Amino acid sequence: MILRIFSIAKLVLLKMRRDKRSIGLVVIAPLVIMTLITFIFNEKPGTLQRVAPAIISVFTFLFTFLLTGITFIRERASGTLERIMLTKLKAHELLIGYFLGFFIFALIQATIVTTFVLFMIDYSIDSTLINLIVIIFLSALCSVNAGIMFSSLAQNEFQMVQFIPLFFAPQIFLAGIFVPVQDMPRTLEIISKFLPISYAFNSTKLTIINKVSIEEIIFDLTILFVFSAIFIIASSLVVNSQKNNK
Amino acid sequence: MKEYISIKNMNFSYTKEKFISDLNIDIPKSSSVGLIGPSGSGKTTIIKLILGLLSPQEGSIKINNQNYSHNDLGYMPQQYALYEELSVSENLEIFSNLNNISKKSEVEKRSHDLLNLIELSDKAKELVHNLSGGMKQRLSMAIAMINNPQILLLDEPTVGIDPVLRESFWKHFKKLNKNEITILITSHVMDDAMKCDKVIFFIEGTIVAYDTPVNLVKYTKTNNLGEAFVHIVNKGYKN
Repeated sequence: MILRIFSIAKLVLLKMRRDKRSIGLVVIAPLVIMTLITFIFNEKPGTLQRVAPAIISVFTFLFTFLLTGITFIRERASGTLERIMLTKLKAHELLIGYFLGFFIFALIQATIVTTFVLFMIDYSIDSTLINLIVIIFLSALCSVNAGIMFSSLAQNEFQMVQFIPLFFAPQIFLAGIFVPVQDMPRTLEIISKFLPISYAFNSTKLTIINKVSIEEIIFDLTILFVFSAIFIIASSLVVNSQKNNK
Repeated sequence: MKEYISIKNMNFSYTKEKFISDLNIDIPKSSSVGLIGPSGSGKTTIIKLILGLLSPQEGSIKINNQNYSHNDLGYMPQQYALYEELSVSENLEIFSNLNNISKKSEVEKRSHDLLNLIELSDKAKELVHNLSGGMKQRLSMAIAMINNPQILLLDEPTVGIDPVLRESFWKHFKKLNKNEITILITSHVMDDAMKCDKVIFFIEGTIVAYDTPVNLVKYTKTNNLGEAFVHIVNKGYKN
């Protein structure tokens, strides 16, 4: 099992390493976006402080979701997914391998975004940094599997891109970034409880602004973990359906 | 010869309309059987049904009178299904590892043997996207054989391959047959069909003839398998 998982992780890393343009984009895209955001909020440090948690949580989700979703759909279109699922590889091994491979790139992007933001808001490094590491880990886990799950609903890269606003817009508007969740109409407040970015944003906000300990965001982290588990199960079912009913 | 792959009373449909209708095929062990028919006749669908990538609405498939696992099968799809960003040897290594072949020396030996067979030894370090279509086809076949399967399912394996290499493939297929490997090949090429032990002529999801190439020509009183196919499509087949 370990061999098969590491083979998939190695496969992802080799493919990415050979694709120099994608590697460049993995690093350059967050850098460009963060520079732009910094220019926008440079004169208003208070505003940057307020939007920092939103930037970290949303972009960590967005970049990883895109990276995994598009790669997975290419895997399906080229027939390699069908082929590797006819080996001894199990669906959960494929997903773990994919996660390990992509997590490195997700981590690079999340580190760029987070470092940039923390530097701009003069964040003093202390024990709460561990909170951010756990939040980023769980967000990436959630996002990798959400990417795989949504890629199964799309038939090509174009359709996959259309899922971005569908998946992200409600989360961005209902996570409490623009309006606090408790000030929203009751229905929207309930909906926001079913969106993973709500918990990523809330825990990041409490960590950066209120400097809370990890115990105080344990509820948000647990829910993020539950979302990850749901996406893992859903994407396992998706991969198995490729295997059995294609 | 005793049947090895046994498909009984199989019906399959993608939509409401039946695509594969009441299919019965017995394939003897250690033989090469050609599934010959026009595009869209259902050849690939049968391969996918055997692989378990599709589930039939009715009927059963047994191998050696037992239920089977797809791990016993080697499959070469119509599209190359290769990792283009990886080298030839990296592709073979990944598929070896995914088939639980972990020992480095074993992986290297198998890769070496297969690369010799497909005449790509000098391209081992080459990235797949730099290979020609025919080379990719050959690599795809090597990957189908990486786990030493008991049954090889080859979907149009000789497309894009020159006649000399086709001959060498067929020599290898016959060698595999002698080693008790059973091969099912789909093809449009009558040259391939002539080399099979038995040929299934397949049209619109139905078998119209299943016999040896020699018998198919003999009983239709035609000169070759191509003519026999046309004759059977127009007048049916009786042996």
